[in-house]
Amino acid sequence: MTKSKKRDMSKTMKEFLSESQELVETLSRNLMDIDAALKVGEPDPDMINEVFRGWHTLKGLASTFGAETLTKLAHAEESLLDEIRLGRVELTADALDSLLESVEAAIRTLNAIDAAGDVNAAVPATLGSDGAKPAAGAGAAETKGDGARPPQAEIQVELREVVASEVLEVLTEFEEHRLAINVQQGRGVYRVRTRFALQTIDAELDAIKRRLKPLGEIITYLPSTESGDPDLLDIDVILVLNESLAALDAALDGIEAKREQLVPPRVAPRDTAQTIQPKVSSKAPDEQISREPAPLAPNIPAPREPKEGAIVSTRDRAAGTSLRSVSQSVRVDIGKLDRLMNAVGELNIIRTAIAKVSDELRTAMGRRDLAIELHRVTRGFERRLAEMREGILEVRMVPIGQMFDRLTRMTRKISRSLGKEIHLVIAGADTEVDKLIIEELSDPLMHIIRNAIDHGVEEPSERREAGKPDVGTVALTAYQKGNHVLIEVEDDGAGIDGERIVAAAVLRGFLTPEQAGSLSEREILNLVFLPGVSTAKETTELSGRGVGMDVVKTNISALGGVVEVQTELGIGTKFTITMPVTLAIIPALLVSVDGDTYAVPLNTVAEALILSPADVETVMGAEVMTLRGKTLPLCRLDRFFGRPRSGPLEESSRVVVASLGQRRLGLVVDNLVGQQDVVIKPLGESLAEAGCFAGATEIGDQRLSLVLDTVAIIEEFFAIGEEASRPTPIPVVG
Amino acid sequence: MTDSLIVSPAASLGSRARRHRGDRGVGAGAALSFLGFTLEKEEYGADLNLVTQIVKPPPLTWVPRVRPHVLGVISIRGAVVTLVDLRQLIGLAPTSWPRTARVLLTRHEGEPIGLLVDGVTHVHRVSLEQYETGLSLEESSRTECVLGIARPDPSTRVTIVDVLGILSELMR
Repeated sequence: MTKSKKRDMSKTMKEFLSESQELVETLSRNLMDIDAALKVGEPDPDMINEVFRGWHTLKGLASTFGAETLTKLAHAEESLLDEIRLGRVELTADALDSLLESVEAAIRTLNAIDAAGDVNAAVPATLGSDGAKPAAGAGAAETKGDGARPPQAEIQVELREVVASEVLEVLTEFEEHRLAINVQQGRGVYRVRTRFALQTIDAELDAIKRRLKPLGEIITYLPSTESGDPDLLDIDVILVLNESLAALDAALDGIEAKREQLVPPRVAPRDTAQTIQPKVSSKAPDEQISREPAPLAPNIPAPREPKEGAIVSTRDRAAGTSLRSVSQSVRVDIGKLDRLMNAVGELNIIRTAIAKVSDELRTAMGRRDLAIELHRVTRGFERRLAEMREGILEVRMVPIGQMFDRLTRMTRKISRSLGKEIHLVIAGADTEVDKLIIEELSDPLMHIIRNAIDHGVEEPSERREAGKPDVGTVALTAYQKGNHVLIEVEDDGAGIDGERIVAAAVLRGFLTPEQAGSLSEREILNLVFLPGVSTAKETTELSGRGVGMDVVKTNISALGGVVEVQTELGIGTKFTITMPVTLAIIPALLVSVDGDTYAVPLNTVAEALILSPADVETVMGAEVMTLRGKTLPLCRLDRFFGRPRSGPLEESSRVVVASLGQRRLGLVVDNLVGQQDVVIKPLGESLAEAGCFAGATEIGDQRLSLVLDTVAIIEEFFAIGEEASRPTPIPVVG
Repeated sequence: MTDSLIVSPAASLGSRARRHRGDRGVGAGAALSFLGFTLEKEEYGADLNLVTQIVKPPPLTWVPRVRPHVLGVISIRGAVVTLVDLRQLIGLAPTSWPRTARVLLTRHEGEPIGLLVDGVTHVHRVSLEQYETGLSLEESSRTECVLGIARPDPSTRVTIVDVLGILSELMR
């Protein structure tokens, strides 16, 4: 394939991927809604219909682009959902598992397509599933009924007795099913006839729908052309009424509409089913065929008559309008936002240059008036620029709920596969975070939740003994605190056993048994982030192999975040992730070291102080100072950078107190230059070995300043400190 | 110089070039283009296709804790570019750079890299007959940096430097 051809394809491919992704996300949300509804009773048939339609749309999209795996999957799901909505397959928790698993499969397929740039990319198999799981579906679900008596037949017979055949024969199978269910429950069915001008039909139909929907279930819209006027269309709305007739009349007030009763309401007796006398249906052979569990049979309601075809199209159009009205958003590639942000950064540099010229002009002789005018204009420019920057930042921000949806799905899957019931409590889903952070954070969070369920929450029997409810709770909370977003994952499980972790760490050679004895509680808990140290009693399929928590920590640190753990044995464990709200622009403290200016991310700075040489003490050769009664280790940045200057500290030195979680380190610098919002640009791979910079930023005069990676510096400083203190035994003077 | 040192130029350049991303398929009689530059008064050349831009050295920011041949970072049109001392990369001693110094911008595995040279001369176009490869110099330990020697005219000798080869070896 030539290069240009590939680029052409990738553009349509991108559209395909983003559209599909949107559909799959909606599917996932709808399924989770159904899951929630299923726990308290019967889900709204509209919800199931929504999922059915979602897969149908995805199928169309996938086949247009020739994505065979996805088409097959969507087809199978569509068929299964058709069976479900027709009441042929019961919607059980197991069936829902399978439906959700298919959503996962679709995501995997899309990811594979994205990675390979080929719509028919091979989907990598994952643990416990076989690739894209094509044509799964009905296998896991159970066909309703025991086979002796097709339930559909009973309903059919009943319907024919009460509903006029002229109505019945234009209904699709699904509509018939819904009508039958409602009639069975003794609700009244009405026909509401309205007249629309063809030009405004979309909007008017929508309005009618909004009025009638709260009153009951709309079975269908049937158009007729009785009026004889080609510009007018009569529409019959077949409505199952849950409310009183008076409510219906009130809803129709002000609309040109006639209502007519098709089936009178009865007081629904509890034993409705028994009042229906099952007769041997003349349509029996037909029923037999459709009852076959054949998930691959395309069961889309096919137009049986031209008249019905018209109905379908009318309905689709109505659905189209409603979709258009809710979707006010645009999907934007984050790369484009980055480019915009870069442009703003450039403008900012130009602004600084203009301001400088303006200042010089003011001190120069003559045309002072012009200089003042220029200054005023520059200030205005500055404000607009700040607005623009904030605007772009805002666009990058997305509610964290997007990710929580994914986590909810996964939680359900894990809890079911482990046989532990989990109640996931979510709070703060509307907290906004930089899109990039969300992308990067979902894997680490998944690990933590998996851990919480797998070896945080105990077996039901154990929980009962401990006096806890059988159902374990995992709380996922997000909230903003200053320039940070905090995400907490808390479980009410057994807590982390410090002794076991220490034992594991000793076993892996991270600690000597002697050192193990002198660890503080916090130090012990931090051991879970070492590679190979697991909190699990035994390894399971999901977790406990000791890979994970160290990766979690690395990933989060890479984003400038911190992860901390608190636990109480028998009560539970809480992981707290602290992340900067955005990665693109951060407020920073500018400091100078040996003539160079460096930026220290302000979110890691606790305070900055003047350091007088007299304050510096030494503990085992290491410089420290006492700050409010606590020992603060000092790190001279010139030494850290490998360019130590001789002699004692200068009088004017400053110390920037950097804090990371519970750890604090005093960075000794020559001077504080100021505070400024900086755009961080990444350093090339060839500079990675420096290991202590998060990037570089332009501060105004075209010269770059390096942005300190405070997290890395603190970690390296303490790691070196520990290493250095280990081999040298303290000389005991006795 | 014996005949055995001169391998078929097309074949040799081709095989070296294939290590680079773009094998432009050098055929017999095709002209090669090199950008000439100076280091220590000697003229060198680099594959013209590898150099995207030539700029005067902008203010340099020193980066601590990296290898000595990495001079620091510079800002070119808003991008952070790693500035590398080509002099040190090909085994010459580091010195301060002259007024005529220029930065040749190139890319290495997607990363923008600037190569500092003492000055830029001009573009040389040579035929394959004027390009000799497979050179082995007795004393120099850095022959692996050299792709070949171009002789645009009998009195000029330009040492062609294997830019990508050097970068991938030393950036590792």
